[in-house]
Parts: sequence; C-alpha cells; structure tokens
Amino acid sequence: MSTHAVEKVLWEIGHDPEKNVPAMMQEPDIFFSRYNLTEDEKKKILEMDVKSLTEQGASPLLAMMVWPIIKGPETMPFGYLEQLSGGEIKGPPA
Amino acid sequence: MAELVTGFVMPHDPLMSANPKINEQEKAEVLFKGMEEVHQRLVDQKVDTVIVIGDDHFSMFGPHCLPQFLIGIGDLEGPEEPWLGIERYQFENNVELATHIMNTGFDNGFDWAVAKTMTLEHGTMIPIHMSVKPKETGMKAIPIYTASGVTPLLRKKRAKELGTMIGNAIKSWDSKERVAILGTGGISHFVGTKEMGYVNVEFDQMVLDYVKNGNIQALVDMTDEYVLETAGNGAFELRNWIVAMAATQAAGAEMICYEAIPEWICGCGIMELTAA
Repeated sequence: MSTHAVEKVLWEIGHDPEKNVPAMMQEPDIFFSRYNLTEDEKKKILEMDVKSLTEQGASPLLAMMVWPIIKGPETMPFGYLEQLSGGEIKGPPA
Repeated sequence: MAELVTGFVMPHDPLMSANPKINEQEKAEVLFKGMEEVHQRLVDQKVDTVIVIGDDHFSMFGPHCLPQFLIGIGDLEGPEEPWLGIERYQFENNVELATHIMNTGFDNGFDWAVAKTMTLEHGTMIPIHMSVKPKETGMKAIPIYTASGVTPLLRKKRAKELGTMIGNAIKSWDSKERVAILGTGGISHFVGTKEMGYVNVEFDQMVLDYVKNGNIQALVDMTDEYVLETAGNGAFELRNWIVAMAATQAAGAEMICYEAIPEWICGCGIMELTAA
C-alpha cells in the first residue's frame, strides 16, 4: 500500500473537507489523479474502509479524523468502531 | 539566573472541553478540580512563564512535515480545532526565553524545528487554557511539540536528553524569572484503534508509581511495542512526561488526582514533580 499517499489524501480531506469531499465524491477519477494510489486504495478511501486502511499502515488518527466527515458525526464512535471491529469496546490483546 | 520552580505531568484530553458533561460526572469533576489545582499551584509559586510540552495529532503538522521536536518562539494563539468549544484567542509567549532555549539547543546538538508563529492545537492548548489561564494571570507560555502522537516517534532516550537540555537552558538564562514546565498527555488511551474506550488502569498506576519514585529510566526503557499493545498509541505521549521529568531532575512527585474515564477514552493523571 502507498501508505504515505493514503495519509496525504486523508490529511487533505480532513483539513479542507468543503473542497475535497465533493471533489472526491463527484469526480473521483479526477480527484485521485493527483495522488499515487492503487485502484484498491482509492476504493478503500471512497468506502472509508478504515479497518483495511489502518491495518495496512495508515494512521488511526487520520482515519478517525476523516470518518465523521465522510460518514457523518452521528456515526462516531460506534459506527467507526463497528467498521473497525464489530462495535465492541475491546481490551488490549491477551 | 532563572529558576525552574516546579513541574507537572497532566492530561491534555480534548474531550475535557469538547464533551465536559459525561455520565460519570463525578470523575470529570475530579479532573477539572485537578486542572484547577495545577493553576493554583502555579499562581502560588509566582510562576512567570510556563513551558508546555505536548504533541500534535495531525492538526498542525501533516505528512508533508513531521518535526521530531519543535519550539514556538513568537506569536501564539489557539486552539486550532473549533470542535474543542474554546473560542480562539491570543496570548503571550516569552520570546526572549524561548529564543534562549532554542539557541541553547542549537549549540548543544538539538536541531529544533522552529515556529515563529503558532496556532496551537489541543496537545498544548488544553493545559494552557485550563491550568495556565494566560488571559487571567498574564503568565507567558512557551509551547514545545514532540513527535509523540504521530510516527515516526521521538526516541524516548532523546526525549530525556531534550528535557535535560531544556532544564539547563532555563538555569543559564540571565533573569529572575520563575519558570514551570508541564509534561502533557497520556496515560493509557487508544486513539482511533479498535480498542478505543478501553483504559488500562493497571498500566496507569504503574506509570504513576514510576513518576512518584522519580524513576524516569523505567519510562525510557518501556518499548513502544509494549506500550502500544498494553496502553495504546495515546500512551506514546509519555515522552512528554519524560521531557518534563528530565528538565526538573525530578526525584519524585506528589499525586494530585487520577481517574480512568472511558467516555474521554483516557486514563488521566496529574502529579506535581518534586525536585531532587
């Protein structure tokens, strides 16, 4: 995964959502052409597949920053956690 | 010479201001009282300038630039994040002392990133707003950011060295100013990971015991792998505590308060560092 490029997209969405969210949603091919991403990465960002993105190295801080922008603030924290792990509050690994 | 009169370790949890009303309000009130206690002790000890050690959370810095440690030497305002529920305001830096600390670092192998102006995010702004209260007191603040929230992380050994250098810089400042240092963040919390909301009280108590006993080396020696698995990525911020402990040469600390607050996704502890 182009972790650094994924983080760049997430950071730019988080810091200018008014500009970047409509651009990504309405014309994703044009929006993503500025970034060095694979087709799979573009799909995961569009779908906010934060589980895959973070498992493959993207910062969970950025995932958490962008999730409510794309999915809506009302989906925090449980919608976010559900996507990550099924919605449970978990302890650290045994 | 200037004097480093006291230091504190304390949280910078943004939910303290963004979400102050929680189900376990009695726990929140303990923390609010603790933050106020820090303020009162700063006032009682006639502190002029507070050095605040925090870390960015991708609010100010981004993938295009991730400093290992940064000092703000000029105009200050904050907070950056509107969702904190704090109206942005300006307050005074101690430009002369900040510049002296910067130059002492440059002369001793610490190549700071430097900000001539800053809009501070919650990693320093929460303790400044809740405990320094510069608008009320006129106390000046010097913000220092370490790479403790976003990778690549500042090495903990280097955090200790950085704190020692800051302490020496203060002592060598030709002034009668009274200075305090705040090491902020932690303790256990999982930020944006699937364990978010879990607080590891056992880990937190172990850390607080280390601080109480002045055992800075135990904090330095904890591996990041262990910290991540046991106490979450948010506990990487213990680097900021290490900086404050090294600067004060703390031999121990006095407990002010601790609460595990899942709604604030954090174990929050406050202690005053005691000099050797």
